[in-house]
Amino acid sequence: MKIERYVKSPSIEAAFASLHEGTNNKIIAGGAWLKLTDPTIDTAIDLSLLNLDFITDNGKEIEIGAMTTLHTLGRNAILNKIYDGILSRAAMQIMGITVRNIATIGGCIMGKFGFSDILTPLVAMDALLIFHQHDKMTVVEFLNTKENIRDILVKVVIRKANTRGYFRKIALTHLDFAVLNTAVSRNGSEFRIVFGSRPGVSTRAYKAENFLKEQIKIDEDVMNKAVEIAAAECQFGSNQRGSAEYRQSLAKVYAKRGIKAVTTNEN
Amino acid sequence: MKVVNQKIPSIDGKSLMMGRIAYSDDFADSDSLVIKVLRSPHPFAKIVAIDVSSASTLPGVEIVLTYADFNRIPFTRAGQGYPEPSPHDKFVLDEYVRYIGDEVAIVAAVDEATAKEALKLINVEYQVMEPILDFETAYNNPIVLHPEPEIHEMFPIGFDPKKNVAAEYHMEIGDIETALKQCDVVVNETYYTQAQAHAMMEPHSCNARFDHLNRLVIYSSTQTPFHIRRIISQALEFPISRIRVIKPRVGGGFGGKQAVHGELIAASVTIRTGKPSKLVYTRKEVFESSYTRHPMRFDMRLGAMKDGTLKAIDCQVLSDTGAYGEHALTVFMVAGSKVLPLYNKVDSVRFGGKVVYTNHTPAGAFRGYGAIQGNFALESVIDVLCHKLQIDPVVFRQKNMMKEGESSPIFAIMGEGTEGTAMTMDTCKLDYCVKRGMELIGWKTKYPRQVISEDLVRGVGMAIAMQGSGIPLIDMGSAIIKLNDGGFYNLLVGATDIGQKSDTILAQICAEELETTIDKIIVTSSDTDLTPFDTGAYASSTTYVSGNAVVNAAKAMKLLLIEEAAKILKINKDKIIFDGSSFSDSEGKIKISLADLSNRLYYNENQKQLATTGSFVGHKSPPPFMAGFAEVEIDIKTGETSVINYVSVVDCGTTINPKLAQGQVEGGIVQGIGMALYEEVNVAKSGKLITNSFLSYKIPTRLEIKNLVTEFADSYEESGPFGAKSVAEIGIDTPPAAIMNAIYNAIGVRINVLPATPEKIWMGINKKEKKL
Amino acid sequence: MKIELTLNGRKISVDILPGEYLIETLRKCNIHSVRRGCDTTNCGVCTILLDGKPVPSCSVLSAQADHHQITTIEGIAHEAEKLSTFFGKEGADQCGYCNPALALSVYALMKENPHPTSAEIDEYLIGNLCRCSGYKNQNKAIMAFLAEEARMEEQ
Repeated sequence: MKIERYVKSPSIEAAFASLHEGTNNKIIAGGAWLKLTDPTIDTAIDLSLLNLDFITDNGKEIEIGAMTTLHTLGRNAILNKIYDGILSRAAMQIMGITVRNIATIGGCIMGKFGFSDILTPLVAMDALLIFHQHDKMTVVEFLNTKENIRDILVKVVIRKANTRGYFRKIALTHLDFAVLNTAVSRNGSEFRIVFGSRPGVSTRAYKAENFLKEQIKIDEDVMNKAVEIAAAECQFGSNQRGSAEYRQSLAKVYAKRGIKAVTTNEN
Repeated sequence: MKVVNQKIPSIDGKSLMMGRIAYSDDFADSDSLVIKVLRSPHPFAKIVAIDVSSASTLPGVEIVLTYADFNRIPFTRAGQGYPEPSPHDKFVLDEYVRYIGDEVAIVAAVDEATAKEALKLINVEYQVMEPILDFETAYNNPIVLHPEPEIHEMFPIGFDPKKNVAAEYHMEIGDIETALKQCDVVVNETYYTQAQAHAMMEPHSCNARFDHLNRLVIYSSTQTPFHIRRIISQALEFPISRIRVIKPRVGGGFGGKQAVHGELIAASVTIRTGKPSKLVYTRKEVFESSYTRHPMRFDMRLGAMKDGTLKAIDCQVLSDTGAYGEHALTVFMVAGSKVLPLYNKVDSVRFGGKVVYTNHTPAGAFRGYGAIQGNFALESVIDVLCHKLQIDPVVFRQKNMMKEGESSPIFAIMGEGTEGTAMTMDTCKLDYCVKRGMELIGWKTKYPRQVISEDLVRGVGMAIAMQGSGIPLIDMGSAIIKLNDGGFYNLLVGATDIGQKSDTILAQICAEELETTIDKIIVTSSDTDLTPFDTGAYASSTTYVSGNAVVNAAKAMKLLLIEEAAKILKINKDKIIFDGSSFSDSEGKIKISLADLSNRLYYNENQKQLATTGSFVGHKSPPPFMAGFAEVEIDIKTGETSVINYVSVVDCGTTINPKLAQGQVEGGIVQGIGMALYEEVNVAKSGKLITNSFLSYKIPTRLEIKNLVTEFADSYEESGPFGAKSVAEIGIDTPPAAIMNAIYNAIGVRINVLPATPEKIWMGINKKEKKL
Repeated sequence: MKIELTLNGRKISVDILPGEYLIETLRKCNIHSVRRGCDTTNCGVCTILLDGKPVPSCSVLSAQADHHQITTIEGIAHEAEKLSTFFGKEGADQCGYCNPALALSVYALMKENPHPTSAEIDEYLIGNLCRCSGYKNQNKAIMAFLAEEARMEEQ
C-alpha cells in the first residue's frame, strides 16, 4: 500500500474537488478494509471533519450520515426499533468492536463488498443513497449499476413505516465472513427477500416477493413455494466458505424462517 | 501443602497486563536492520538464476543473501534433543524451493519499507517442477522432492528420500490377522485429520546483536533456547561458546516455536554485517512458512466379541510432513504410543505406516503431537464398534480401558524414535474420570440424543485420552538455587515459560520444598548463559521433568542450609529444625533466622556463597489421563453445530496450581474444539495455502465457547514433584472424537474428515435422508 | 508529514509517512505495549483507544488520528493493575501477549456499559482473540472486576 498525500477535507466541496483531481485519489471512510485492497493512492481524502456522523429521525425518515460507524449503528435506539432492528443487529455481527468503531456505513456501501453484512438489511429496507452530486438511488440500484460513481456518499435514508424485519448471518465462527446473509422484511403486504454473501453482493428475490404479495394468507404451503421461487431466481456461487448447493439450501431454510418471523409476532 | 496445590496468581501476569517490555521484539535494538525474506511463489522449483544486484545497491539495503552465500550443511530445524530423530534434510537456503513460502533470499535493510522494496528488486529465474500436493500419492512417486545427496538420518528412522519417505515404522504385538478372524464383530474405518495451525497470538520473532564481549546474543520467541544455540552453531559453523540465546516472555507456542524459525536468518545477518538485526514474521508467514500439525490418514480395524471384549486393534497411518521432515517420525509414533495403550487388554495390536514428503508447508510439533490425531481415529472407531455391538460406549470403555496398576506392552516397544520404556500405571484414575464425567454431563438422561424442536437436536458423545510426562531417558531439566543475603532465593531454570506459566509453578514447587513463600523465590529462566540446561518446553515435560529438578535442587539447598545453621548454632545438624524462615533446636531455645544466617554467611564469618544444583531425567513418563464429554446442538436443516457443553475430568496427579492447570486444560479443549469444528485448511490447486490469515483461518472466538466444566481427579503420582504429572497437552486430545461421537449420537451422521463444518454435516444429513 | 497526538494525556508531535499506521508510529514512540498480532484487524492484539474507543492500531492510519486522543495501557495503568489481580485469581492469564489490548477493551466496555451481562461481554470482546485461555476464566475475571468497579462507584 502506498499513500502520497493525506488530506482532511474542510468541506464536501473540497473533498469532491480533491477526488476529481486525479484518478488515483481516493476517499478514506473508516479505513478498515484499506489494507486488504493494497491500493496505490495519490491523495487519500479523509471526510472526518464534515460532520457526516449522525443518525436523525425527522418523523418520516431516518437519516444516517455516511461516516456513522457500525458500532454507532448497532447501539442506536432508533435503528434498534425499525424493521425489528435488523440493521443494528447486522452491524453488531461484523468483526469485533475495534473494527466496528472505525468501519463506516458509507465505506461498507461504497466498497460494494460481497461479504458485507449490512448491505443485506439495507436492501431489505429499501434504503436510499444521497450523494453530493449524483442523483439519489436505492441501494439495490447502486449495487446493480455498472456506472463508476466517483462521488461522495452523504447519507443513507430509510423511510419509516410499520415494518417488520428478519436478519441472519450464517458463518463458520462469529468472526468469519458470512456463508450467507438472509434478510426478510415486510411493510404491509410488501415483502423483501434478500440474500447477501452468496458470495456475490446482496440481491433481491423479486419473483418470490411478488408471489407473496399476491397471497391472501401466508401459510406453510405458501412459504415453501415462496422460498423455492426465491432460491431458484437468485444466483449462488461456490467459494472456500461454502458450495453453491449449500448456500441455496441455506437460503431456503432462512428465507422461510424469515417469512415466518415477519408474519408472526415472534422474531 | 502450603504453596503447591494452591491457586496462586502467576508471578508475571500483572506486569504483562500492564504492557511492560517483555516479548522478543520489545528487546530488539532500536537501530536493528530489518530483515525480510523473499519466499517461493512455487510449490516446487529449482532456482536457475538469481540476480540480487539491484536489490543490493538500493540505498538502505545492508545485505542480501542467497543459497550461494551458505555452505551446504544439512540439519534439522526440529529443535529436539541430539542426535535428533528427524532427518537432516534442510539447508539454511537451498537452490531448491519445496513449498509456497519456502525461503529464497534474505534482505536486511535500515527499515521495513526499504527491505520490502528490495524484495521486489530480486530477479529469480525458476525452473518450475511438478509438485506433490496429494500426500496419498507421494510414496514412490516418480517426482522426488529431496534428491540432494548430503541429507541423512542421524540413526535409523526409516528415512528413504528416493521414495519421498521421511520416516517409517511398523510394529505388531500378537498376530493381528488371526486375532481379527477370531472376533465376532470387526469394523473398518478411515479417518483424516487436517494441517491445523498453531495460531499463537505472538508471531515468530527474533533479533540478534554482538555484545560487549563480541558474542552473538539472540532474543527469540522460542520453546527451546538450548537447542537453538546448538543448531545455530552447527548450521552456521559458529562457535557455540560465542552464542547466547535468551528467551524472554513468549506469546504462545503450542509446539509451533519448538523448531528453529528465523533465528538462523537473523544470526546470519548479524554475523555477516556485525550489526544488530531483527526478524518478525508477518501473520501470513506464520501461516505459510512456519509449521502446521501433521495431517494424517488412519486406516483402522477393530475386532471384538459380542460381549463387548475388545480383542484387536490395527492402526495404519500415512502422515504428511510437508516439505521437510521436522518431527516426522516422532509425531507419527505418538499417534500410536500415546493412544493405543488406552485399550491394554487386547490380544493383538498392530501399528505402522509412513511419513511422506509433499510440497506443503512443513509440519512440526503441535500440542497433542500425534496423540490428538490418533485419538480422533481410535475413539471414533471405538464408537462405531459400540454401535455395531449395541453397547453403550461408556460401558464398553469401562470394560476395556486401562486401569491403575496395569501396563501395556506398547510402552516398552514404542518410544520417540527409539525403543520405549516399560512402565506400570502407578496412577490412573480413568475409572473415576469417566464416572464423574458421566454425572457432570448428565449422560444417563441425555444419551444418545434429545430433540429440542423441529429443527434442533442435541447429542452427547465422549472420548478418553492419555498423554505423557516428558520423554523418558531423553528429556532433561535442571535448576540452580542460590541463597541471597536477606534470606531469599534465586531459582535459575533452563525450563521455558511460553505462557503456560511454568515460571510460576516451578517457583511454587521450590517454595514448597524450602517451606517458604513464593515471593522469596526469584525466577530467572531460559537464558543459555545464566540458567542451567533444559531441553525445553515440549512433550508435556516441564512440570514433571523440570519440576523434579527443582525439587532436587531445593532438597540439596535445605541440607546445605541446615549444615550451615548447625555450624553457627553449634549443635548437631540432625537436631536442627528448619521451618522455612528460621533454624532452631528441638526445644526452640537456640534460634537463628534464615535472613540472619544468610547475612552472616555473606558479610561476617566463614563467608561463602550457598548454591545448589538439581537435575532430573525421567525413567518413565507417567501419563495423565482424561475423559472428555461433549454435548452438541445441531440445526438439522442447516448442519450448523455448536458445542453447548464440554466436560473434562482430568487425572494429572497433583495440580501444582489448580487454576493454571484448569487454564491448560481449557485452552487445550478450545484448540481441540477448533480442530474438530472450525479450523478448516484450504489449499489451492496451485499449492497455495488459502487459509493464510485470521480472515480465512478460523479459530474459536469467545462466542463459540458456551460452557466448559473442568474438574481434576484426586491423584498422586509418587515419581512426580509433589505428586504431579503433566497437564499441558492432555486437554487437546479428546474434543475431535468426543464431538464427532456426539454428532453421530445426535443425528446418525459420522464425520471422518476433520473439521466437521456445517456443510459437511448437512451433506451427511442429506445422504442419510436419501438412503431412508 | 507532521501530526499532533495526545498520547496518554500528553501532547506530542510526530513525523509520519502518509501511509503509516498507528501501530508503527506508537512503537516508534517507544510504546512497546502495542503489539502486532495479525495485520488484518481480526485478532485484537494491537487495540488502542482512539478518543476513548477501542480501535485496531494496525488499521488506523496515523494521519487519521491527527489531533485526536490516544490511550494505550500506560494511560490506564491503575485499572490494568486492578484487572490483573482478578486475572491472577482466576488463572485467566497465560501468555499475556493479548492482555494489554484486552484490558483496554474491558476499560472501554466499562465506560460504555458498566453492568454488562456475560453475553454482552462476549459480544463486546469477541474481536480480542485468545489462543491460550479457553476464554471462560477470562470472563469470570472480567465479571468480577466489573462488579467490583461498579461497587466502588456506588460507594
